[in-house]
Amino acid sequence: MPRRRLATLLWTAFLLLWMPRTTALSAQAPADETGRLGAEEIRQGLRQMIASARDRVFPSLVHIDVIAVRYVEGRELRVRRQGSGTLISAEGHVLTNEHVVQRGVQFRCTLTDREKVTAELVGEDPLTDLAVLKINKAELADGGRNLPVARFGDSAALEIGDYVMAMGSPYSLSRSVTLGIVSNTTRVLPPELLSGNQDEMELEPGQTTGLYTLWIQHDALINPGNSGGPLVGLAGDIVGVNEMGGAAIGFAIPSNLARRVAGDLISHGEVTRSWIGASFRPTADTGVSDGVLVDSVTADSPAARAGIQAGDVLLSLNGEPVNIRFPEEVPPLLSRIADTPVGTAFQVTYRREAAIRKAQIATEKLVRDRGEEGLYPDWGFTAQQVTQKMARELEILPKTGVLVTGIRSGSPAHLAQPPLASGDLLQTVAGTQLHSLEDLAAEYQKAQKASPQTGVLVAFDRRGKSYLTLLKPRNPSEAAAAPREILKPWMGIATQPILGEIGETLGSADARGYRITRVYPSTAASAAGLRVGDIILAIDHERLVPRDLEDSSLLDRRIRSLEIGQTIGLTILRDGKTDEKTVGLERNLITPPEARRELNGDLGLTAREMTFFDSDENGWSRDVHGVIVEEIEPAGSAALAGLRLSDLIQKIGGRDIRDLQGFREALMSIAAARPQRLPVIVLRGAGTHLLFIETAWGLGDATPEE
Amino acid sequence: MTASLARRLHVAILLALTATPQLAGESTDFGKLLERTAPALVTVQLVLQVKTTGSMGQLIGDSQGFETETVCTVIDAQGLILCSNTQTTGYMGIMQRVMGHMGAQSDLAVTPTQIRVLVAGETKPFTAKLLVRDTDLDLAWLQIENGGDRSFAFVDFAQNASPGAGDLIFAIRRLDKFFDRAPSLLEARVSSITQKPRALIIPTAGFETSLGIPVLTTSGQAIGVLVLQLPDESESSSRPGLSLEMMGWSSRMQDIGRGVVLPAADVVKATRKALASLPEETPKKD
Repeated sequence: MPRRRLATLLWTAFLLLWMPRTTALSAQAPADETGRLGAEEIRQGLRQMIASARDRVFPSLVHIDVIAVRYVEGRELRVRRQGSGTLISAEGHVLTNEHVVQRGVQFRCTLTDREKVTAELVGEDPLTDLAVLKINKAELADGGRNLPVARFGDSAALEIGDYVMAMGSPYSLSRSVTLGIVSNTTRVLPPELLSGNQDEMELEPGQTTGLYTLWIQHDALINPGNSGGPLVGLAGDIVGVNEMGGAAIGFAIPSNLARRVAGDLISHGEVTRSWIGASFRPTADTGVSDGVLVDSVTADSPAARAGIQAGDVLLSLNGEPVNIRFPEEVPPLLSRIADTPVGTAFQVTYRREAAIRKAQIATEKLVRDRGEEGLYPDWGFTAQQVTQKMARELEILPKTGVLVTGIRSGSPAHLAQPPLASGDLLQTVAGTQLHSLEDLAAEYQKAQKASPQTGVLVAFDRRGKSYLTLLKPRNPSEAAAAPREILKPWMGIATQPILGEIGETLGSADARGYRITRVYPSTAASAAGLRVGDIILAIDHERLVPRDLEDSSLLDRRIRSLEIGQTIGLTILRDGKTDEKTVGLERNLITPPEARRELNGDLGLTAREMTFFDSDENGWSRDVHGVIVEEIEPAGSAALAGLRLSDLIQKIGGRDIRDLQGFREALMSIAAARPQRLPVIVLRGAGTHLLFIETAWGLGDATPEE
Repeated sequence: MTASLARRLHVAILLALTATPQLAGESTDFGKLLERTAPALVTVQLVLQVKTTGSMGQLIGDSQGFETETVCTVIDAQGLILCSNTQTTGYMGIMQRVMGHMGAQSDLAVTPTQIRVLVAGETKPFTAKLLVRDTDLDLAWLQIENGGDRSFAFVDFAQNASPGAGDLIFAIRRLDKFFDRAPSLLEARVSSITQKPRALIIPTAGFETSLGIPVLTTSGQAIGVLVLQLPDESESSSRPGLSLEMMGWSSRMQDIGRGVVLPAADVVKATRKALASLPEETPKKD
């Protein structure tokens, strides 16, 4: 939009908003000679209004940190997600988006006074993308007695051009405010934007959202992290909940819808809705001039049982005419149906091929699209409760059961004969019929208590065929350990082959041999006085002549074929002169790949013992000790604390860590004490760093990867 | 292994004995060779966990687990087993080498998490532990853990022979489980004897795909074990950059990627070193 036109619009909008409210202020803001307000007065007045509105909601603004889980190929992956929210009750309820808290297992809210407090999920409503958390007030210094609470405004009163503020944490930058105007009050998203109709909009795969929403479109800048934050009118009320946007276009869920959903979630933990199993298409551009077109009818739904078919024209509901010409009129119709009590009988009139018909449709409870999902690590798969919608889409019969959604490679489920696979419908486990995820969880717990050698018989359905397989959990005594290499002799040097041309360039064709590129400290080679640059010509007078790079390891192989403790004579070329050195062969040292490892699920990290080569590569002196961080679980406690791969953990919880055994003992001791905060000192590069692992986030709660 | 499978294996051996009568002019009794050696050939089933980082991790995923099985040789009566290390790692090392620079830029850790040993004539598999390995020689030693006082049939590499170029040699393997893991005789001649990268006996065609199995003279004396010999990273001439060297490797693999015979004397020496490696931990350098 051209800048001049935008400025004109802004001024117009401002004056419309401002003028009715300036009467009281006019005495303080004198008009100019022509009776109009001066620019400075207008600016000051606007500033004052924005500040006033800001101050009524801003203190209630919440930054939300979520640790969520995702299941990928039968494994649990933790992810960290951040969003925004608003305190809406003195009890500590926080309104936010469902997609902020989705699959969350740990929640923490940062209030505007920068205090952090944990929270619990009260309820979520994916159909409107709204959710409510409740903070643990007891963690606050004053017990949360003086929580600032924002109030809802009337979103229906919003008009295009009204000023609004978006508050939240764009890109996790907490306590941010932007200003804009309402661009549209009844926005539906066009098919081109969604690659489909609005009733096909999904919050995550398989989960519909937005059916009942007419979004408030605005241009207060929002970005990732603003999700769930309030859209605030100049009266200082929540008029919307920001859900999506970016690039100066934002979409907020109207406060009237949000208030109702939040109330249901707080009161009942869910939003109960009626469902008839039909979707509708506006009549514009269809040749139909009245009613609304039935777009689709779900098989075996109330609408289907009432005889309604796709292509029928619905004319009235309970005697009230229905006329839906445009997409913006569809969500209110769906809301009207959804908001009736479950079991309500709608008397409908519809037209089919010029014939007017009547029917009665009794609503059913609308259930969630996606079932709960669970992880069964000892068996190595994830499974999901089959919902009616899933059963219909996947053509699963019977309509209940538990669906395998992912298999961990190398797990009992993967190694079973036949192996389980994604898409299998579990029917029985150990002879028990599965109706729900709870049934599966109960059988899983039983199996965990049984002998690890005991296999569990599983019956499952795959494309209409019923199979049996046996899940045999791994014996814990067979836990993986890195295989060790055989002990072999070693001198403590690294070399490069000196080939013909380099030898000649060095001044002598006789220079062909193995040039020492590194003498490791405290080794037989250093004790024997070998130096970098020496060229080894022979071992025990047996000439070694490399002919190509393919001979790079000839010297090493020759040494490794000898015996530990054996003394050998080396003929070397140093400064153009040959010399003899005697070296006693010692045994080789373990390399990082062979080093022992320790997985700690509480901290979400794998540490390994430090090897000689680690010290050498990093230039660590002999008094540097610790364990090396080798793997970090995403969004685990260690990751959140800022530990990095290759950090050398030197101290944890005040205890010096000298080796892997010490690390193990320290963590056992710490796990028993369960401190809230665990100081860790790591050596990273040239400097030490103090980090804090917040154990309340994970100690004892994290699920370790196997 | 089930009892029926064990019975079938015996039947297979007997059939082999009766179906291959000694031909006129042949001094070797193939039936006896097979009968005497086959019981020492065991099927080792492994579940391997493969963790990769770097380019390979992006290509094949950071963590994979799979089941594999290989034929190995029992080398003492207490159930000490000798395998090709390449096979106990599911050939992952070869993959890394062949991938050239991409492989060199990747960390690859292959860890066996379950080991089962199927012994001919036994109804149930034994459990085993990977003791130690020698990646230079491509050997891995496993120990049957629950063999009790049982005495296992074994190949004695201490009673060995050194063939010359052109000599007839045999190897015994087991067929795939699709064929009930029946013992199978392979025949070749010594095509070459090389000293680089170490003393090795190179067989003519016929032994290429078999590793970890014993190679015998016509009279049944051990010559050695079939292994794979791969160049070290520094010996592969791998150069930085997006590597198409794997294309170049295809021509080298006709020699490098085939089974060669590690002489029996070296097997004995390596086994002694391997067992000596076990009781003590490798010390750290301070």
